[in-house]
Amino acid sequence: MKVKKYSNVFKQAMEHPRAEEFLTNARARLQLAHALHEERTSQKLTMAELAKRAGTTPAVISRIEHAQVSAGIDIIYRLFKALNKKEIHLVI
Amino acid sequence: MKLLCYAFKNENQELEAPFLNFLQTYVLKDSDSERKKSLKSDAVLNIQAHLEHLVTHKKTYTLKYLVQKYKSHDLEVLKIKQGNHLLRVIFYSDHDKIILLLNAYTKPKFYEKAMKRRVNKNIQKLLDQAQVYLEDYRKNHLTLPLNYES
Repeated sequence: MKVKKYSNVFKQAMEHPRAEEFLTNARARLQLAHALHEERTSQKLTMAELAKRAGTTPAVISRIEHAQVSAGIDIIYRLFKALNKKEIHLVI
Repeated sequence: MKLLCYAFKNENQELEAPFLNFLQTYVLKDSDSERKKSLKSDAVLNIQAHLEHLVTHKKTYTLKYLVQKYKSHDLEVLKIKQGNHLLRVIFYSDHDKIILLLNAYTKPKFYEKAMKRRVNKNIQKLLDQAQVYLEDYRKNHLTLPLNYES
């Protein structure tokens, strides 16, 4: 059967000089989102409760959990400290 | 878990995949500036990372933070933020064996109230259309691989 013409955009994107950086950043945001969401929900905390404990806003937590932002080390530290975690397990 | 793109036979008797059609907006052109090429590559690799994450964790986790389930449809929507746009990938997951990518769309991050109604109406249309694609897939089982290249 004939197929409409398509270019492989993934192959093209991987040829970009900063491809590795783009992919690593996106994976890091997703890993952090996953780790934070799993920990928060396992402790049965709402975003508002965690935000109050960590001295931030629920919107910041929402953005991190939806992998929308690259969070700074200061906020990551505060969040996991508020969750009583001494280490974060990220699959790389 | 396999990632596949839903396909149908178009009026030219060619196999066409709506999700691959969407991805073609990110094809790098010679006329693109370096910045545009960079933005397009970043967007594609962000989509790739999200799809990898979906395949890795879909079996084990509900992925509520990334995936929205539509009660009225058998569909789920993967939520991706890319710059000032929100990308949405409509997919169907079949008993944890395959993830069928039905279609995708972008919606503006910021929009006025009046525009919101129009955007939501268009999204509803796309979801309804994706449900039709799913029914068609159940009948014909036509798919294309995600990395298809002609």
